[in-house]
Amino acid sequence: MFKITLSPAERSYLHESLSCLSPIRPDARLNKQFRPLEATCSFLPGSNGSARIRMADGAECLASVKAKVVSLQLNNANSAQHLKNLIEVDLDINGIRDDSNLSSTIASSLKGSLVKHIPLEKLRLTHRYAFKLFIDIVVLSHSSVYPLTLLSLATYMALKSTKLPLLTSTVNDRDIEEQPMFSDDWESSLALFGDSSLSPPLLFVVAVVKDNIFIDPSPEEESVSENGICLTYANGKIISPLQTISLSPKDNTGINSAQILKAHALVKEIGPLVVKSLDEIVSDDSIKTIF
Amino acid sequence: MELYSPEGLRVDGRRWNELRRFYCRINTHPIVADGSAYVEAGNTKIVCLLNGPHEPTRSQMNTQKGSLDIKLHVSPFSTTERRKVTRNDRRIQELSTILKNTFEQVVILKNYPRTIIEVNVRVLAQDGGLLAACCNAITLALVDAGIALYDYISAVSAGVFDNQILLDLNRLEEQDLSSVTIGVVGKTKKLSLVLSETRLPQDRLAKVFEVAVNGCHQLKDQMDAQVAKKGREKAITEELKTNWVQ
Amino acid sequence: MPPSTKRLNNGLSVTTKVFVRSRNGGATKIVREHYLRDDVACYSKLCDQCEYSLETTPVLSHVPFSTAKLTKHYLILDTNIVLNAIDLLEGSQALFDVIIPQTVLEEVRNRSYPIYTRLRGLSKADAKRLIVFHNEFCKNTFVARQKGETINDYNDRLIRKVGEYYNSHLSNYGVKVFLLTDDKDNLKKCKDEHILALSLREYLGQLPNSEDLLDTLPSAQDDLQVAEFKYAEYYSQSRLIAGVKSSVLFQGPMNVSSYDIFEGTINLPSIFPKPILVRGRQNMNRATNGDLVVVELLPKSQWVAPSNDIVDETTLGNADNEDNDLIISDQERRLLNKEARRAQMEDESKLQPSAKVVGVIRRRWRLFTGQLSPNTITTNTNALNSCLVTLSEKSMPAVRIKTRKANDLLNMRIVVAIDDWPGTSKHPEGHFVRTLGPIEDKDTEQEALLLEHDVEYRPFSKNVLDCLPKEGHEWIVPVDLSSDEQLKKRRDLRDKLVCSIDPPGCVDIDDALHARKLPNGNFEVGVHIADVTHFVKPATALDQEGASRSTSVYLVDKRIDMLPTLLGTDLCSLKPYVDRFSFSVIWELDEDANIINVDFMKSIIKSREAFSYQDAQDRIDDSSNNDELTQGMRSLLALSKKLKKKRMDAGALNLSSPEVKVHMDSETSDPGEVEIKKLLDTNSLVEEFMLLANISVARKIYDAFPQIAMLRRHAPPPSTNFEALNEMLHIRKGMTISVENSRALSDSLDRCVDKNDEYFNTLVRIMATRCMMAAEYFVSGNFSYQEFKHYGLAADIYTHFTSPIRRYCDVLAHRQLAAAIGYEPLHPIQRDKTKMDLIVKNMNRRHRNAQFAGRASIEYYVGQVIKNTESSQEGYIIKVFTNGIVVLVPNFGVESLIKLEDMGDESSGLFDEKEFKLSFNDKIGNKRELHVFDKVTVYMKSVLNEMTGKRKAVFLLK
Repeated sequence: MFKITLSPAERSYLHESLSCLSPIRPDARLNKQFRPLEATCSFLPGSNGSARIRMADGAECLASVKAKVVSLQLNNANSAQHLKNLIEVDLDINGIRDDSNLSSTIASSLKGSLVKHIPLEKLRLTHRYAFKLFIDIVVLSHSSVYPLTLLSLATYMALKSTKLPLLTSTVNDRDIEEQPMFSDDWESSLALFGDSSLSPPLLFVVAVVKDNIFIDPSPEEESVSENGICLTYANGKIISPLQTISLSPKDNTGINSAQILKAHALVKEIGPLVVKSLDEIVSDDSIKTIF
Repeated sequence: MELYSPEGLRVDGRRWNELRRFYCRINTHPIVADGSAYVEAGNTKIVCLLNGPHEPTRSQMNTQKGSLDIKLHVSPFSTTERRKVTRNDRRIQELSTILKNTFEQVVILKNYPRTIIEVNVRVLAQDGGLLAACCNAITLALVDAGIALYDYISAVSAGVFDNQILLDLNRLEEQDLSSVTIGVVGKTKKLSLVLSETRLPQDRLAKVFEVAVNGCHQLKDQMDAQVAKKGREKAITEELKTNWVQ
Repeated sequence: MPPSTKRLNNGLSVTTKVFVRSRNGGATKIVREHYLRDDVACYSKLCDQCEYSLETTPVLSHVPFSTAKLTKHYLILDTNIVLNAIDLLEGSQALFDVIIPQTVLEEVRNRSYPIYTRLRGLSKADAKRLIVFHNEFCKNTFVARQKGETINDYNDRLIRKVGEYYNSHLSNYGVKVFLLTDDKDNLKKCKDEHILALSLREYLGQLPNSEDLLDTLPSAQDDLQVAEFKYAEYYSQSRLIAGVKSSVLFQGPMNVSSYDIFEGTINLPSIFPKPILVRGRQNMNRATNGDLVVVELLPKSQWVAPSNDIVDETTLGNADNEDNDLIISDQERRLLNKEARRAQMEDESKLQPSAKVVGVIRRRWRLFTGQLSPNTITTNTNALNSCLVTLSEKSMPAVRIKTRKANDLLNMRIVVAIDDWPGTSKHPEGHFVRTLGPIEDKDTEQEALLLEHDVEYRPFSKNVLDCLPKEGHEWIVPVDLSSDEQLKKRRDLRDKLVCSIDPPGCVDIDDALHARKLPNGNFEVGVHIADVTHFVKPATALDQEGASRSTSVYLVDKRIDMLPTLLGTDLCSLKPYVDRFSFSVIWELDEDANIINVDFMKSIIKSREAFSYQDAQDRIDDSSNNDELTQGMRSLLALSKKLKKKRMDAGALNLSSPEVKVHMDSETSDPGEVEIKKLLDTNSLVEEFMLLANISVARKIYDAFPQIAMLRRHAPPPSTNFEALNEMLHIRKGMTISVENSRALSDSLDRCVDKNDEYFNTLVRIMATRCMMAAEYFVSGNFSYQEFKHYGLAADIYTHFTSPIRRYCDVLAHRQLAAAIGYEPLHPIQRDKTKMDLIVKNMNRRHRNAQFAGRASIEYYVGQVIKNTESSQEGYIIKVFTNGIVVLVPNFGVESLIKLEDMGDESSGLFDEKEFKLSFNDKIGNKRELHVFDKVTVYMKSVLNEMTGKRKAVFLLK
């Protein structure tokens, strides 16, 4: 993580230009424009799904999804809580301790939004067995205070590229126990999101400066923003959670509904575009070298 | 599966003295690191980020020479079965210490008093030869950062199957055979790193070293080629820039 | 999408293999690198394109085998051919210039490790010109797996690719390459793809000696099967694994009763205190003796009592339970299992928890010997006959084979292999392998015996013999002892008055002894063991052969050596009057035979004399003889008696087996008479010191190698083993045997004396021996120290060290001891615990087989003796059934069953289970009562069993 130190004059200039009616971003981007980013997926042959995202400023994140067969406790196999346990999210941010506040908050908010949008019934193998997904996210470097967008892009792609081995033994083992058996052919494994109507959520962080909102804020922009909003996008809709976050040490000035509506509209506009371009990368499923 | 068939082929189809596919890149993370490298040895994949030399953040200051800090991060998904390894894991600490001791011999630390060089090694996938791949990645990151070195350290593992020596073991071989990892300084026969965690027959030791040293030299050539290539690219960019300015 | 291939330098490229491994219910994605190369040689001598490294040379012939129709050709074998026709492949009649694709080798290895080893053996020998072609590593023959392709289809495609490659690769040299496969689908695909392929039958049909060859093939699978029977289908693999894991089903080796092939037991000591019973044809469900099976308990209503009847296949009707198709849940099964356990513990009824076989994990099928049942041969022509073969192993069912030579095979002892047991066939299906010779012929029976017990009796191969010293019999201990570093470490003990004491005519002398009184009044006693490991170096062909044979096998008139004769009877044998290398244990013992000091060393000795037990005894007893050697022997004898007393006091067991010795008439080599083995003091002299040496060595090597020391243990018998015997003793004689510890057992055995019958005590000992556990070899790391105990010898720790010429354990112990005293380091192979575990497993098996073979050999000869001397003999009843008794005749050491119908009126039979009593009216109408332990007189004669071709003692009760 870099420290951005701007002089008061620079800060004031930057703040001014971002709060104009037609704001000017330092790199001349539109407010709905992402910086160029690099994305690769399926680069970890040993994982069921994997992805890597690198932003233009060098912020970089790897995500891996590994599935493991676990046995379910029979009596509460159907309880929602139990199924939620089939997803585990683990976050490792370079330079930040695993047990720090930041990582655990991000991990739990990520998990919270994921459980609702992963087709859990597809993880269920039989009455007694299910796949458990281990989603491991490694942030090699980041510049934003809140690298949520980065994380969610990588997670999105990793999940979309996730394939699960094909069960060949019987599905009904309620009364007579059977050990699950799988096809040894990896090619015949099934995509987790194959024919599902669900789609993993994407989290977008926008910076709020006066009445303007900016997608993919650069560190400089973050440092002069008054507020941040994190929005979740899935299946063409903005969904919960939606939360405000503070991107800069500046005093928060509070947020008004107009700003939220603007952010809402912005994300709704760019969401499908982001999904489309990421899905294009995912559909090429050969094994790659990342660097 | 036969680890070494009477026809002289190993589980993955190599002969006894053949290295696995070795792929390396330097300067992979130019923005966030002062030196960076990526190494694949077969299916073992390592990213190495290096920052420094810069002022130490804590009381790590040494007025005589620079200090070297090597941190090894093993990703939970790097093994076939997911396994979360904490940073305090004994084995990880041991490997970090071994790497640090190894590189303190070749980095000219006296050139960098009152500074620290921080190296983060990230293991993305493991398929045997972990320590060797880490070594090679660190060497490349150091070169990329332009830090003064006496020479490269290139490393490889070698093992013994019955009486046959096998070079550069993959995970299957590593599990079943006794093996040693060695690191060699430049094109010499000087060993800067020797680690063997299994029994090795004493009478085969000399031969094992000979084969492994040879493997290290081959790796050094490949790493050299990558560095030279990156150098040429840089030179061209620089030239373009200067011409542009003129 | 198939993984991409990257080209590396020097003719190498790399791709990845990605697959899913289901193991223990998991599904793990496995990714492996797979290198493809352009330098995989074709091994044909015709080809001038392929290059070879220094160690390898082409193998496939310049002038390959040819027939009129097929012309000159090489062969590629598919997996099914190797698995079904490995015997043919090993024989010298057909199949030369053979290419085994790596794919086939791997498949064979997964299906049958023994056949894989045999195949690998063929690739090392030159005779058949067989090579392994690593097709999956060869750039020209590798193909990636297609999406949705099963692994079998993929492997078939890989193999076809080899055929295609070889034919184009060798197209300029006038040789064709045929793929032999019996997989119909694969044959058809070959045809479609224009790849030369034949079924094995088609191929053999082209050969001049096709008639004989075709007969040795497994019956063709495509014959229309008439469903003569319907067995229940086995459960699916996943069901079996999950069921066993959750203790709903149980897995264990099937133990088929030798009285009834449809009654078996499964021992699950950790779950059920008593074995689980499986009874009836349907419940046995095609399981044969020794198979690893999975069973499921039957509902309580179907539990049965263990049979007190004697049943063999001929008398058994179809008394099976009706199939109940009720589906019950695992939950209910668990309750049933609990109930079964309780029933066994409480023992309130004689009903035993019974089970049925629901799956076979691993067959223990090997080659079996047997003979054709004459009544199953239908035609007299040479048409293909389907007939039954009765196997010599009583606990195996008859095997159905198809042959054209049925009439030639009558009254011959033949070897058959079992191939399959389909659910629709009453009998397992097999094929004829070869003829051993006429039934009852001495050589035939001996070979059958060896085969039956899996004893390797073929002569040593050239590879093995090449490891022997080049000097042969001329080899001598070097004169200059300082010439060699290792030699310098040896102690020169040639001044010691060493002698050996063995059975008369012994040529492989393992051990020699000496004793000397020391000035301080103590004794110096030395045990010198032949230094076999000087000649048998680790990891050589000789060593591997020794490890594989594990023991010499002693038959009545034949010895199958573990090591070549040159070593066993000459170079290693501690013959008198010559210098020999030995491994010595030297103690200082005090007056009472306590060990003051012990020392181990490699040495050189010169034995002064080789005594027989009798000679040694005579010499000791001859008070006029007072030379030093005799004095030494007397000291040894005195000390050995003290050692023996100590051992007995500690609770060593004196058990008995009806050991008899067959005297051979040397002129005709026909067995003359049978004699019970006699023991002299000198027998026990040698034995005591060997025990002492073994114990001392065991301690030493365990100290040096706590994880891998090669030891021998004898577990205490579980008290349940003695239950039946104890009940008989209690009811019939009012005696009990106590089994808390070996001391108690030993004492209680001593008390089992019948004043009126001297032999009774021995009888009890014989029966007690049968209740004991077998001693076994083990690697020290596998047990805790408390479990090392040798129950029979009452020793804390024990090993075999003293007979390295005839036991492989001793060879290992020698190497470990040599390493422990710093003579030479241990070879890495012997430091590897997993490898040691394998060796030990094999040793235990071979050792057991050798014992069985020895006993069977005696049995055969006793049968021959009885044939010549029918007579009345005294015998003891040792078992009583509802319809018969078992009688043991001590003079001949044989036991046999007498059926009620042969003793008297069957309908009058009354069996009192509590009293072990069978009462009936005999042939002349007198009432008779027979109890267990009763002494009876029987008329003994020997009868040839028409079914098995084996001669058996038959008793008639007088």
